[in-house]
Amino acid sequence: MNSIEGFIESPIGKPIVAVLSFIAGITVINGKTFLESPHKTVVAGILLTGAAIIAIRIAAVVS
Amino acid sequence: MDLFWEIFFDLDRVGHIVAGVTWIGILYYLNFAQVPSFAKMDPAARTNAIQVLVPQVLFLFRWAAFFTVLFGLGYIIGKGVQDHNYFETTRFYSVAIGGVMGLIMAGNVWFIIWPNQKKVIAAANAGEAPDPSWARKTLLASRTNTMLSVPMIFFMAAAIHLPALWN
Repeated sequence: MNSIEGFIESPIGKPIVAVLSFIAGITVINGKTFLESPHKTVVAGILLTGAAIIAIRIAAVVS
Repeated sequence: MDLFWEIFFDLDRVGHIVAGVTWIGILYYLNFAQVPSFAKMDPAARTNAIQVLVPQVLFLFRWAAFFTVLFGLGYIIGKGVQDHNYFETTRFYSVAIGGVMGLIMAGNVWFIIWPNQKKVIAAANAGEAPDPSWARKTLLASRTNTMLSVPMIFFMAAAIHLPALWN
């Protein structure tokens, strides 16, 4: 076991890996995810960017 | 003192950009070239590629991720030391959003992708079949990084090129 395996099995590493695994698995529903397609992954990235821009713009107008 | 900070930020920016371009370039190579090609390759050729090509690619990939984060944190900390109002600027807001995405991506590289790929490489070297769950975990983390790379790059660029985003 080297330092990376040691870290991810440590009390600090385990929750970090759990959060990262949750984020990576958030799109998986019934064993399927749009992340299996590289093209859909890019579309999702563009949509995520657009949603973030719209949220910031709306927050700037409201505040 | 100003000259010190100017030189520091110049070198830090160069390091961050070169490491970042290397990292994301390899990320896109993995997702759009290597993974689709491996699925079509002859098993013996794929095993050979895993033994020879993949370790070199992943070496550059994970250390590029490490140095991108290192230089990025160096920039933010340096700016905070130099200018205490930096954290209240719209430039920092954009950098912070992109930075959080970058930290998630780097965490995926070092704590999910690399440990699972090490097992795949070890299995190929031992002539054993890899556990499908290793490739599955790697794929999900890698694709998550590809998805996050789009807004991450946007917000990093917006910090300089789109200050009006926050107005």
